[in-house]
Amino acid sequence: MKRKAAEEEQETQVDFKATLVVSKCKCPTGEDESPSKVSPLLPLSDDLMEHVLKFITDHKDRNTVSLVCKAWNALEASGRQRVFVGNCYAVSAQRVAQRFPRLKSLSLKGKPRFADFDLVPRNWGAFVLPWINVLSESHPFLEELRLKRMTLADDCLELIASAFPQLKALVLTSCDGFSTDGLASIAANCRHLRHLELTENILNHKSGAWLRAFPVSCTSLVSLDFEDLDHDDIDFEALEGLISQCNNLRTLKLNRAVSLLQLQLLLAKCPQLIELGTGSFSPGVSREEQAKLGDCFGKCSQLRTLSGFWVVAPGHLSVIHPLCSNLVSLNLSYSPICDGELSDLVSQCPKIQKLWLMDTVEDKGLEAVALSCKELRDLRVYPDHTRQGQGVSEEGFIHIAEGCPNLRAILYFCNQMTNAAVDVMARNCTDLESFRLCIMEPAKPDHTTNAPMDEGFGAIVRHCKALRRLSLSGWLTDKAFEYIGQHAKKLERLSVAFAGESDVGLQHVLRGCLSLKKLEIRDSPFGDMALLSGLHRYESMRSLWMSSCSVTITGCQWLAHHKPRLNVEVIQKRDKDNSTLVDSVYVYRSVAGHRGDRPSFVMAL
Amino acid sequence: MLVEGYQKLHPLSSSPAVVMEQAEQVKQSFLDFMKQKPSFSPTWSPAGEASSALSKSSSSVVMSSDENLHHDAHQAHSSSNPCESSSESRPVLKAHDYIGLEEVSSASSSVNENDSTSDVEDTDLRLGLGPLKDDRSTWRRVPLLELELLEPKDKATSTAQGSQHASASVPTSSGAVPPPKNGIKRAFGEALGEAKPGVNMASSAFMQSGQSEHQHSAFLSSWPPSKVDGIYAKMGGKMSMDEPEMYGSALAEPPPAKDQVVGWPPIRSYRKNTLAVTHSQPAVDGEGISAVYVKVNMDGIPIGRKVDLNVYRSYESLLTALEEMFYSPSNGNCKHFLRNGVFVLTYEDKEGDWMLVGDVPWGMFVNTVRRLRIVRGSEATGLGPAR
Repeated sequence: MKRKAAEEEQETQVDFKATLVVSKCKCPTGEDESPSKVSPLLPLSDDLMEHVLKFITDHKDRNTVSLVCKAWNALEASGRQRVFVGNCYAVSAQRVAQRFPRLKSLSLKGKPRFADFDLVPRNWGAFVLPWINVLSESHPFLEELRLKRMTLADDCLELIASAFPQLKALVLTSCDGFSTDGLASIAANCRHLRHLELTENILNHKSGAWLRAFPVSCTSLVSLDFEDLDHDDIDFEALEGLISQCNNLRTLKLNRAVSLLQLQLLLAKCPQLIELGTGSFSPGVSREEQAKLGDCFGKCSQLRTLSGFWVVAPGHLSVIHPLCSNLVSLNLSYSPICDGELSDLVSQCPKIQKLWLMDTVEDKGLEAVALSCKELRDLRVYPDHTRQGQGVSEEGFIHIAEGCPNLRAILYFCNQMTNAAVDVMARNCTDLESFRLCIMEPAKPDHTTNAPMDEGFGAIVRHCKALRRLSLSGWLTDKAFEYIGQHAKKLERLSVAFAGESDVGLQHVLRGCLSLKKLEIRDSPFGDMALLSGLHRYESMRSLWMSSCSVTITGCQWLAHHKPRLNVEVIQKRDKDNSTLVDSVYVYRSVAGHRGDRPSFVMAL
Repeated sequence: MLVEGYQKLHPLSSSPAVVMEQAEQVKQSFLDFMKQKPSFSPTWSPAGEASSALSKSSSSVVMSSDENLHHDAHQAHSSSNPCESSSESRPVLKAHDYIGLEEVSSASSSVNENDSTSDVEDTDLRLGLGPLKDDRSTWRRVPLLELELLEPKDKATSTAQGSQHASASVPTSSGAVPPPKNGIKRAFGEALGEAKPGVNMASSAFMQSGQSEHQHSAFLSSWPPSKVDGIYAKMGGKMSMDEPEMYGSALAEPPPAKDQVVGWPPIRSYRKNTLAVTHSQPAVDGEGISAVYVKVNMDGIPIGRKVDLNVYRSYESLLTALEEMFYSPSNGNCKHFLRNGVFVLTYEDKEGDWMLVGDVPWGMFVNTVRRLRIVRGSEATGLGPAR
């Protein structure tokens, strides 16, 4: 049935497009949805279209459908259940609420990404409360709320809990402003809660009592992720009780307070888990206990994803060996393990696709990974927080490049790199979609040739045709940007720091990268000319962020004046000597006009 | 602040080519506007005005903190570039700008022929690096690559040498050149071919040039410190205004390891805070700037660990942490295996001797220790009196 409808839909789309080309589509301008009214030129009735549209779920596809004509726009809008808003200030909550009456799931993203690195002052904005205020009236049957980089306080969480009784999923990523009290009100009031996921939020860990707030009869949880929480007093009994009741639990990610033995107790109650965050994986236990743990892990035959490992008692990583043959995703980025332990582990994980590590494993560890993990798609190597160790270098990079040809995404923090090594990766891993290389010293050249890193990044954009995300580092001249502008046609996200020489560089990118959606730049010598060279591009991009560059207030004002549909927000230090340079400028398209909740240090032009 | 004349420019039109053209017009108007303001004089004016103009000019380059340096640089080098060309005629300057519609004068490029050997300061200018105190004139970053972006008609005369000003010139999608994008591409392609010799020179230049580390230490130390401080100050100020540290359970400040640049390397503050908490066990409040990292091994456990001694203030806290880290009932330990004598903590000092931990004051211990070892109590004989 589904296939038939999809085929039908495809055929009719083709037919329809043909019709469109020939004749202009005269759709009724009214927004009425009475199914009986059929436009004379549309070969499809609204009924049929509605039915067909149900099978189109990807939001990009739906956006495209809604652009075809007004009738389809109205139809699509009336049926859309999942809405993704990439920039919470691009559109007003009222407008979203009006356009999508059947909205069930809302995803919102707030602050610019550089807020993660303390480049955006606190209280910048991205408040959730206005959205909740609107939606609580218009969409009381909201089921899912996914927020990223937004600010919400406990009263907002309380409002969510009380206004949306049908809430099934609350996913907070990199948000801030709330505390465990807010979580308690969610736990207590949302009787149908299935997904509660907190990832990398900054919150006030008042107490572990919020776990007790779950109703005794709660059986609905499918995923529970509270890795962020750092309170010392976890109510283990409450947690245990909760877990044993929720038979559908598939994802459980524990915080640091849960010890290895407690983990064993929990696992015994939910062997059906697919994703597990292990808690601190310490303190160590005896050999017998280790064996028992190994058995326990072995029983979790569906487990595919492991994370956590906050401390990892020495030598205890071997207890997860029974699982390894099925493991698809492993996040060890918080555990400072060495290459020996890692190679023991990965040699048993042939199917692993996602591996996140800390650079304490060094190049030898990466060599082991390259030997065993041929299916690797996503590799991240994070630096140890003290950065006193040797870290990884271009040797490990080359091992990975040669050993893992299926790589799609890589994030690599290293102390030194060479163009040759990057070239090897470019030639071997041509399916790369996301390439993020961070040479930790700003503007560092290739350490063997002292040349800029232009050629390396140039090779990447030349060979990896599917590249969608790129983060630059090292010493880069305008040549690198020229390469990017020439070759990186599918590039959507570009992150630049301490790179470039002149406005020409940015101009190359803005002219050449036609798919660019998000551009973020810091500490690079791009000025007003560069900013203005993208005048005709910014409306097709989600946002542009430039901080500590050579942009002046005049340039920003120009931009704002000539592109009234863009919001240009400027942060400028008041008492700088005589300069008109701005600290940061944030440009984004918006149909909602300038935002009213700007703090005093943000100027809207 | 905006001049009314610019309002006559049309609002958006739908066709992309028209949009680009209008974008060019806008930029041209911006340039004109900038020309009118005396403080916004182009960078190519003779050295005297260059410095102040530089910081305010809308053209490429530089952080404002480098103004004075550039001033000196310009004065010191008569051959350096654009000054000459600029003195020829102001209108020609417009052409240099990549937005300009006219061709770039070839004169400037030939003048800059010798710039490949000119000094470091120029390149600093371009890269926004801090003032280089040394006179490493062999350090040539660059910009030999700049001029390739000239219009096709100019490629005959242009070479890859360039000053930063030439770098600003780029073949533009002027209305005069049909399909602007193709125009640019053509220019790029041709100019690239042209630029190859220049590029080779550049790379060989790199080979010959001095160390990078020197450059970089200068870079880092002078990386607009005012900016960094300023940002910290601002954020600090802001933070004191809002509810302070609601989020603080044990949010220790991670040690500002190798550099002091805000937000670099790009690691999420969540991650930094998390790691600082997890791997510095007793609550950290203002630990030393540097970490003293020593390896700890224990008899019977093949895997060692590393600890940062600066995290602990006393032997007690060190012992506690090690007990937690290495506790393992399989070895017949009880929880306090270090204190009850079943195991003993020893250390190797700078001279290579193994000593019992605890005899010298803590500070002296931290300075002399090289590594630690937890040995069985029965084997720790001859090491001095037990505590």
